[in-house]
Amino acid sequence: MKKRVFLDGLLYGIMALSLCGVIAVLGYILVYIFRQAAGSLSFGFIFRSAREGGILPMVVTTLYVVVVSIAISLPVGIGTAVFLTEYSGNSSLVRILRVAIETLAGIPSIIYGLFGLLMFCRFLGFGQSIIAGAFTLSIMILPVIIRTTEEALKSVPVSFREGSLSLGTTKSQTIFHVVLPSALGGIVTSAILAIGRVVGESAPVLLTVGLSRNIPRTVFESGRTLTIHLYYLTNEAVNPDDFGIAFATAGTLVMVVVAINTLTKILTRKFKNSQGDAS
Amino acid sequence: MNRKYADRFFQYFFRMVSLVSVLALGAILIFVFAQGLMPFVGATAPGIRLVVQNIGELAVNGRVYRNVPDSISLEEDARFISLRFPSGDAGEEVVDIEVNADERDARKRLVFARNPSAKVSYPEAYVVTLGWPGLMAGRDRKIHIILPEPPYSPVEFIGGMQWQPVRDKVFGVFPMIAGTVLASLGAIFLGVPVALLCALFMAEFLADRPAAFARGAIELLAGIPSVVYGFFGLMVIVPAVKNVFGIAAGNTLLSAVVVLALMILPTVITIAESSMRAVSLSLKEASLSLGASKMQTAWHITLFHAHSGVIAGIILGISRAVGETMAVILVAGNSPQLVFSPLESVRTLTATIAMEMGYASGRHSEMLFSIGVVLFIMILALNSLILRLRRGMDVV
Repeated sequence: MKKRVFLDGLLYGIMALSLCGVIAVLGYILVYIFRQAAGSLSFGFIFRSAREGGILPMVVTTLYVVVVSIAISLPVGIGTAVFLTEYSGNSSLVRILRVAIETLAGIPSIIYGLFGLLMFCRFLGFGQSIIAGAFTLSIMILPVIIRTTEEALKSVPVSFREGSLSLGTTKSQTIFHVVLPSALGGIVTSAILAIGRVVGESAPVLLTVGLSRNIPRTVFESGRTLTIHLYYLTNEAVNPDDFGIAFATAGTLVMVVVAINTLTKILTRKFKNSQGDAS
Repeated sequence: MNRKYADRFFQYFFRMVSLVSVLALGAILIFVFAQGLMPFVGATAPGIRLVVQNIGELAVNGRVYRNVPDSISLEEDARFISLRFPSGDAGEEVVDIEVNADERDARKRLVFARNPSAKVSYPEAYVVTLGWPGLMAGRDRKIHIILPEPPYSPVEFIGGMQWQPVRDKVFGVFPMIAGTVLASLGAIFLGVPVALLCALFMAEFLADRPAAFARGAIELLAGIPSVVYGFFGLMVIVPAVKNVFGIAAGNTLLSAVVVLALMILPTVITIAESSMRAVSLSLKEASLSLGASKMQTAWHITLFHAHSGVIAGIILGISRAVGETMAVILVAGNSPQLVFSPLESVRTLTATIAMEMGYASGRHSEMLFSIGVVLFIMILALNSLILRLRRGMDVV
């Protein structure tokens, strides 16, 4: 019996240690990057042009890519989620659709990059540009948006729909006036998660958006996102000052990620509470 | 009445919108496969092409070009090339070449009729360059004869040991396939035990609040961009590997394995934990009532009954590791060689695509898509395994 207790205690210790280890590694990554970045990371750094050692063009390019890809992907994703939850029975189309979404979610980002390069840059003639990258990324984030929105739509109580339908509305009116507004929190969460994916993505962006360092004026120009800037600085540049800029860029990226994580947490909690009140 | 049509309209509208995902997947498959299979199907060009530098007027096989275009294509079955152009004071340079189409060795395919006045060089495979000194320094007159490359053998592509895309035009990806497999397996061996210990601990032993905190931390770990992992690896893990093992450069397979192991942790932990939480309470209670300790129950009951979810998590982790690009580029060293020790530089399939796409052209560029196809097939195989496992889980 004593041996059992000892063994259990030992295993408990090992498990606790491994979890603490994982969390400690996360903490170390965050602390390390922020401490190294502390010297150069400032508001001025974010809003200075590249020639003055800032990252304004990269911030602008990243924003462009985020806005355009979300603008393309969100309507399509919501529409697909609505179809899957509200209209679909168990038809073969739905089965194909589910497999397609699963597969899209599993494709590595570099293959999206290859596809985007072929389809949008060469075949449709956009060249390396923000619009080509945004189209590519919008396909990549589609599964994220569909899944999260679908969860949100499923959690809208059936009684809401029945109440609306019993008042004599049509199905589409119910969807637009009852179901979608009640699921708004979940839809916003899905958009934020997708933004996180777009901001952090690098391989497809490298292939489709390019490396140009200028502030892009239109979406048909090439640009350089924050992630690509970090990659370029660490992999290809030789100037020792560049590592300071690289740390600050990494710090900016991590800040964006932390902000997005916190925001989704808050939204999910709020969304759950309001659902609880309603039903 | 209008409303009824509106309703019908929206029904079709949503159905059409949902087709976008299916169409996108179809387009991805068709485009990537079509481009990636190109080098194995056809030759790079129907016939011989000439690229001319610094020569104003040129006669090729009797046809005179006053404004020489960038590239001149000869007929498919041209048996000879005769080049003539004025040079110096009323002189003329003459080169006559016989094309021996049956010769397999590209270097021997062109037979010069007599010693040409030009300097003949072979800058890359399938290219023969004729050069004459220019009238001014740096204005050398050159004619590059570009022979069509025959279809590449898929066996040499998959099994080939050499990757010399520019000079020798040899495209063997076996070292890269081995690199990808080794890096992913290494990451699994290193990451999965830790991930499973964490998941079991979170699912069975942690109270709600600490578990929620741990889950938050792991979500954050999942959210960190891969470039940042690569950067962190380059700054911390690569020097550490270098110092610990006393080697010249820390950009090695081992560094890639450590970074990838870190990156797949969140994936494996999240999926394993949720499948462990789904194990029904009655099974655990039965075990506990038989006198098993909580730890015994966790290992023998929870872990056992969650095994299909755990395996799905591990496979998803593998496919993450296989598809990871930027983090690996930054830490792995990227020499296209077969590795025999974890302390050697290694290059993965994804790294090759991302690094070389910027300057690749012609068949080299197509070959990068072929690498994409290899990667795609690996991922599709892993995905179908996961789908099968999921189906198995639903049945149970």
